[in-house]
Amino acid sequence: MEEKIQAVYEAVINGAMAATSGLVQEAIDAGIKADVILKEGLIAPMGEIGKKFEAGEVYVPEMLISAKSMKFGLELLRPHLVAADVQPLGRVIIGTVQGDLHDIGKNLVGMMMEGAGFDVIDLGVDVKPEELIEAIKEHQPDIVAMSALLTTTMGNMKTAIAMMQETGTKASVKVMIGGAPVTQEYADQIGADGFGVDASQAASLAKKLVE
Amino acid sequence: MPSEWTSRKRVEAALNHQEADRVPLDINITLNAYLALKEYLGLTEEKDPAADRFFEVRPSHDLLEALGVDITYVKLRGSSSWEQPPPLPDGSVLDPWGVGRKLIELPDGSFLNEISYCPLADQDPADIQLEDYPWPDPHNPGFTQGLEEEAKNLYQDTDLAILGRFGGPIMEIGTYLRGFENWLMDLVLYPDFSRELLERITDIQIALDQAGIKAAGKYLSIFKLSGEDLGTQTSTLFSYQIWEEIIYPALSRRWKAARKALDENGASHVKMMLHSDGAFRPFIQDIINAGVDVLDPIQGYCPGMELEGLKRDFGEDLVFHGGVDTQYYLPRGSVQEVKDETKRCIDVLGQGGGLILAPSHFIQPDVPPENAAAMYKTAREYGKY
Repeated sequence: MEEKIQAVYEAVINGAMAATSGLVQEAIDAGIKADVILKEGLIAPMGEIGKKFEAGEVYVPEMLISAKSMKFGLELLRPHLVAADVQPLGRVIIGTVQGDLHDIGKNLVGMMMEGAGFDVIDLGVDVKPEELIEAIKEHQPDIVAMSALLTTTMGNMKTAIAMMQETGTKASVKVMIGGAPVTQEYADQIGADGFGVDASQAASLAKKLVE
Repeated sequence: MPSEWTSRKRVEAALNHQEADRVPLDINITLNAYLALKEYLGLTEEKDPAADRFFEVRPSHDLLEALGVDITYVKLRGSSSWEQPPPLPDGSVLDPWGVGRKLIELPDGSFLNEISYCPLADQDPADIQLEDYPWPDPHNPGFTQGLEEEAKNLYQDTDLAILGRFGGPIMEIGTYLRGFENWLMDLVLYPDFSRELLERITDIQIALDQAGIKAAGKYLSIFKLSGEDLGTQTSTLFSYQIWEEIIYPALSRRWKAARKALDENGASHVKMMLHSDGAFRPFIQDIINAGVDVLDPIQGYCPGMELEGLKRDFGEDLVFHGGVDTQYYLPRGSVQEVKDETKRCIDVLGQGGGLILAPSHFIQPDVPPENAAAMYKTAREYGKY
């Protein structure tokens, strides 16, 4: 791998935070194509971090730091990606459901998806089904990802899916759900297309869903 | 063996790894679930019972009696010198730590009091002068106003075991001050800052623990070392290295200080209980080594926390408080499933004492009252030794 790209890769793995953007700039200055920097410098290390997380070699803090580092790099790279017409893997709308303000899981999933090459639109927390429907109409995503920590709010995933079906917005998207009390069984029960047990597996699942 | 078992004797037998007449029981319940359960059981209606930080309420004694719950609790009051500042523009109400919360209405009409303002979130740890932060004063006499009398009366007028919870959490306050994500990243990026933040919070919680123990320690059966959520649904929240180098030194200092305060205040019989949600098996041996006697609430469906393994590997050293799953069984299981799950917990954890059966989290408003009632009825009947 090109030395400049290797530096970006390592910055993400080691969690260099803001310094990552400087290294991305150096790669750009060295004439490396934006899509190569994205794929080999930013997406590849996030895949590696995801694997390490699943294997119990790193934990939430390290994953957060790598993801934030990736985001610093991505922010700098984004105009170059647009200029080169590099298309994302797909578009994801993500949010924590109505009544629930817990967002660390949702944020991690969003960042891991971004780190997998998706364009991620984060609707934040306490997202009402109506807001979700509006966002689907506006942004035309491939995937809608919903999160809930509480047993008292996970029912709102079901409500949102039902409303998506009623409004005809479900047909064009895949729905993924996650959060502490959520299981595959529950996903099947409420008509979701997938469930991710953690942020890394959610990103892998998103890739499968757009294949 | 006592000739007549009382709740207190039953709990203390379990705490000493002995079998009583039956498995002792405890409860944690939030407001709307509590009102629904009282109505279901045909108990006297209560006008607006006071709800605490997580919308939990202190159950009335008739509910405890109807369910067979053996434990009640006492806690600290507020500081008499602290004045509630005006709410923030977004409506957040500040607490004595400077942390803001907002009341969030759930779709079913119940509420949660959620963190909405983290005062140190927007600063770089390199720029934060922790010594200048307006820390709450734990030495105010208001915290223990009337506490001794309350505990004494409960001790004399009821035969319930009394649990005391005085100082609040350490890690959680850190997350409130910095924001959850910052706090987690600080552990790796700014370990010295993380350590100092935890140590300052620890000093305050130790002082509060000591004040409460001094006032009421001798009336307690259990001292709750507040809650330190060490696990997620699937793993520990951080690596063993972070635990060992940053977290454990602060937490174990607090636990040891509590043990010392109990021993010095006529409360050497009192057992210490730690609350932690999630999967945190890799830390359990250290927790035992630092003097914790009881673990709460036991999420047996998290990896590594399976009831059989916990009882097998730690059952000689630890008493288990909790056990009945609140993520699936209590809110969404059938009455029969709740009965079966309750029996399973008793079968696995109850042998030889060492179990105080309770839900593995607060009973939330989505728990049908018939499920909650079924859990306690099953435990009273099937839990006989």
